[in-house]
Amino acid sequence: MVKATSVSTSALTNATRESRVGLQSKLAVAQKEATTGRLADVGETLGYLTERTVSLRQDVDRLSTFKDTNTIASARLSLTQTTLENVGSTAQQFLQTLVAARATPSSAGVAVSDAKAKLVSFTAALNTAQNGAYLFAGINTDVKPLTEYFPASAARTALADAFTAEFGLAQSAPGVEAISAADIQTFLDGNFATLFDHDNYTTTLSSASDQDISTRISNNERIETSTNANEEGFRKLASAYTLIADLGIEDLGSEAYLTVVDKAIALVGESIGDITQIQASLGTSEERIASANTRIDLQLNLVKEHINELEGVDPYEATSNVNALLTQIETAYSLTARLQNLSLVNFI
Amino acid sequence: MSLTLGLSSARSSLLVTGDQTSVISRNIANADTPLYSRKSVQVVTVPGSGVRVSAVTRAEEPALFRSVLAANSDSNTQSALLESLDELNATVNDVELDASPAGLISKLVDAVQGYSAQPQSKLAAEAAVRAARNLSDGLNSAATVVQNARRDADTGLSSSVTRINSLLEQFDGVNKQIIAGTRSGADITDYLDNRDKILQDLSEHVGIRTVTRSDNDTVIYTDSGATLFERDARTVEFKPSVSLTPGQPGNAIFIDGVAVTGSGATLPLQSGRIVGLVQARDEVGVSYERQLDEISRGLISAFAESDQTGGGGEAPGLFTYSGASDVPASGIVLDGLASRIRVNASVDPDQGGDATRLRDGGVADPSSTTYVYNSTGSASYSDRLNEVITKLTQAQSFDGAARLSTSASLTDYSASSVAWLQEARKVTDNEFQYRDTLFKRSSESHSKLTGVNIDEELATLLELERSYQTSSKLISVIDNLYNTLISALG
Repeated sequence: MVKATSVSTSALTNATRESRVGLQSKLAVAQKEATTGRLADVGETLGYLTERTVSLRQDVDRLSTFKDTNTIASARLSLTQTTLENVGSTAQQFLQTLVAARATPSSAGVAVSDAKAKLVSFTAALNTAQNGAYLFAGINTDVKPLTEYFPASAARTALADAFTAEFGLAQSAPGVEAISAADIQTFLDGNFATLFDHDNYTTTLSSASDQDISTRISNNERIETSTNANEEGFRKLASAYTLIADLGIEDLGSEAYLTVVDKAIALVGESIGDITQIQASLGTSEERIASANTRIDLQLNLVKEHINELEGVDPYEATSNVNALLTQIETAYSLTARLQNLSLVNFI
Repeated sequence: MSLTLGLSSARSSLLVTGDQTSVISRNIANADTPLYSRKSVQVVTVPGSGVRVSAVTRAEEPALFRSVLAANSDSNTQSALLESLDELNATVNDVELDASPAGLISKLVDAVQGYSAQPQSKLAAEAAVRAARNLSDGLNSAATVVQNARRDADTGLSSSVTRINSLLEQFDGVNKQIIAGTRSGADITDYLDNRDKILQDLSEHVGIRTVTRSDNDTVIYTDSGATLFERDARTVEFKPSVSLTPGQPGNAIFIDGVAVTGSGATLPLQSGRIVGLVQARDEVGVSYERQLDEISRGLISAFAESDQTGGGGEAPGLFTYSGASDVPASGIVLDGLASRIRVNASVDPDQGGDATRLRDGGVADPSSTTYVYNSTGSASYSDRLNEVITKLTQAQSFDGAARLSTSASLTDYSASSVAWLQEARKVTDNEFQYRDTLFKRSSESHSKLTGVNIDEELATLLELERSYQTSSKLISVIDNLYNTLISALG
């Protein structure tokens, strides 16, 4: 005889067992969520939304990498700027020396030795290295960009040869003082200038690459973050130093002397302007990196927040879940115990 | 009414009570046996001479039992699929660990970006190549995980088929007993319980329908209509594969020579463990395998080096694959590529290569300058690295056979592959929870209605005790009456 209300003993015990097992597995999940503050199984809970959290995590990695690599670029830029400032102020001082030398041709020797010293320090400045990479080498960072002019160098020989070819006598030969101002002007604008044009300069003096280092500073920004010793400003300044230091101006006639000094003044003046240009454009790069970093910080915060929204659980809710489950499990235990006692055998 | 008649009525009552007691003790003994149904004794009145036991019957709920079988099949379909998906999830694990191909690709992009910011650094070069090697190792092991999951499913199918065959064998024996017992009118209730147990075990592996004919002869069909048992057990055949070809489905299952799984199935099965396993092996497994293959192909083509002398050819760069001849054609899946992808030895310092080739090019052919991008050999040349980063984050085309979008950047594609797997897990888990609950509830209702309640049996036993006592008393009273009669005669 089947009654609609009948309950079999095994159904009764199974039901309590199942509810206990179910509660315990829920408790394991709730406990993990309460302690980690994240979903116990992110993928299973989020489903297709996992794509969001995976790509957000990729974004976090990417943005943090940009922050790191931007540090490298901005360190290079700031050292470059300091060096350029030095080169610029030295050029300014040289300008003063030249002005003085123009007024008193007798003190030409002072100008010559000043030019020699400044050429050495100019070469040293452009050969500045950071972490084994030369700052002014363009992308050719493993090779020292400028070779020393003194005591002997290809550039020095080239100057001597050009002088001899132009005037038919060596720089220190007697008769040099007879060279006219017009002739020296022709030389300066012609063959001397050619010595410091791009092609000759990069063969005799500079090993730098014309290509500047470019750095990706954010997902779609790639900017130049270095300069190179081949820039016109550097070439002009190098030629001005060389002109005073090595042409032999002490031996020239006073007309010719003035022409040379004037030329040097003009070159230094132009180079100061050019170097300021370079500083300005590097400054722009620095600024772009700074603003990229600010944006990256903002994005990082947003992205992390978003990840937390997707993967995180409310810690209070998780904790109260655990408590609720514990209470339920205790109830289930006591119910099971009481059901065990509930048997007719105990009453007959 | 004569005394003799009374005596025989009382005696018949004792006999019936004995039978009823024995049935009650059978019930109590089996109270915990799954699918044991409550037995009761049918008592009929014998006109004039008391009662007799006509038959032992069992509590039956055929409709409920059918739904138990169906729910069992459905729940096992999902559970088999879920097991396989969880196995595949080893390729992703917690997204926080970044252990998925997507996480490893992201790390590679970051390492290349780090290298591009300081191209003169050998350490940065080696870090980038190391990230590349982690990625290729990750893809190799992910491919192995998928292969293992597919092989496990194949092995699972093989054991399911063996189990089905042995269950059908058992069923044959029990069914014969039932037919014979029905014809001779013997108590077949325990055999019927046995039969139910076998049917439930069968429904775990394959969805079934049963039809009972005369003499309780039962025919079993699969849910797709293929005959599993009719008078005799039909053979279920399956040839397990030693290794499964990437991208190809495994062998089909045949019942009595008819294919019931796979694309060529005439009577495709609908539910049961077998269906879940075939889905895991041939659909989920193959699709996920192809996604990994497509990720590998995308990597090989993103890092491919093009001929710098103007020849226009391309050759595998940082990533290559065993047996490589060329860069695989774009947008067409190359099955099994994920298990073959490697870091080119010419760029891997651990294999005697030079990591800076990643920056300069020439990975494809170190002996010539054909693929060298950095013709001046400058230490801070970063154009090639930037080109690679752009390619990794740019949309490229993928094969639709992998069941993801056909145009996406490699980073997005790998992320959506993770999402695809997780979505499958979520859906399957939800479905499994639902089906499993359904099975538990229908089993519970079935057990409630057909199972044994010990208290009720005890109560009945008390009743029987009373009836036995009364009958005994009756016999002794009749005996006294006889004595009185006999002594009066004497």
